[in-house]
Amino acid sequence: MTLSFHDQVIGILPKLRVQALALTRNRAAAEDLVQDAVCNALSAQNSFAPGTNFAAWMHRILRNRFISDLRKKRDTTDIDDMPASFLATNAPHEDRIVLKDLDAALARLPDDQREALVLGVIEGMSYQELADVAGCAVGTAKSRVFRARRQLEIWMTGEEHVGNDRLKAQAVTLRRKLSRKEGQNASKAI
Amino acid sequence: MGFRSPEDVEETERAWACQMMTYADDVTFPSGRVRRYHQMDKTMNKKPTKKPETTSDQAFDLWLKRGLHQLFDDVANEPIPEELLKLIEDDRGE
Repeated sequence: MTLSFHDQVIGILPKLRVQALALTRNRAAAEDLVQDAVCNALSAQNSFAPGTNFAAWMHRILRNRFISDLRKKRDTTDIDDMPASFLATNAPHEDRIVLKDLDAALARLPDDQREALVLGVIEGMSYQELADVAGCAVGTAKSRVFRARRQLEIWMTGEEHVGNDRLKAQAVTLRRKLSRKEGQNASKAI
Repeated sequence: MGFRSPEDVEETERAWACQMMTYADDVTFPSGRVRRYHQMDKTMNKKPTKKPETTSDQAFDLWLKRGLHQLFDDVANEPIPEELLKLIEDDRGE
C-alpha cells in the first residue's frame, strides 16, 4: 500500500523536528520552521514526483526555508533550549553539565556540519541521503560529518594535540628509516 | 643468550617469516615451530582493513551518540501539535 502525500508529510514530522532543531538550536524556532516547511510543501505538492525520494524532498524544503529565514533570525541559543525532561530528571549533576557543554559546542559548529552530524547520528541517514538533503556531493557530506565530529572531540576533550603527536611520531619513524638506509648505502659504498 | 619474553620471540619469528616466505612454502622458525604456507596465504589475502579506530575514538563516538540522543530524542518524540495536524488534514480535504 502506498502512502498518500499527506500521510507521508505526517510520517516525516518527527524527523523534520530533529533537523529543524539541529539547524535553529531553538525549540520554538524549530517548531515554527517545521510548520513553515510543511506549508511550503503543501503548496508545492504538485511539484513532487511520486515514487521519488520524499524524505529528501521534504528535508530540502525545510533546509531551504531555514536558509531563506536565516538573515531575519537572531542567534537564540540558550539554556532554555535544553530538553526540559532531561533537566527535570535525576541525571547526575556532572552529566547535565557535560550535556550543556555538548549543546553549547554543537551551537558553535557551522549549521551545515551540525545538520549533517545530527541527521547522520540520530536519523541514521547515509552519506548519500545527507548529500541529497543538502544538495551537495557525497564527499562533501562525509567531510561535514567528519569535521563536526573532530571539532566536537577537540572542544569536548581538549585533545587537539593528538593528531600533532601522531604526525610527530610518524616523522621520527621516517627519519630513523631514512638514516638507517643512508647508513646501509654508505657501508655498501665502502 | 639472555632471557627473551614471549613478545620478543613472536617478533623474531615474524621477522624470520617475512624473510622466508618468498622462498619457501612452509616456514620453520628457529624455535622449531612450523608455520604452514596456507596459514600465511590466508593472512596475506586478507583484505586491507581501514585504519583501525582506537579505543578512545570508539569511546568518544559512543559518548557523542548518547549525548545527541539525549539532546534530540526528546523533541522527536513530542506529540505533534494539533494545529499542525489540522493544517495537513485541511489540505487533504481540499
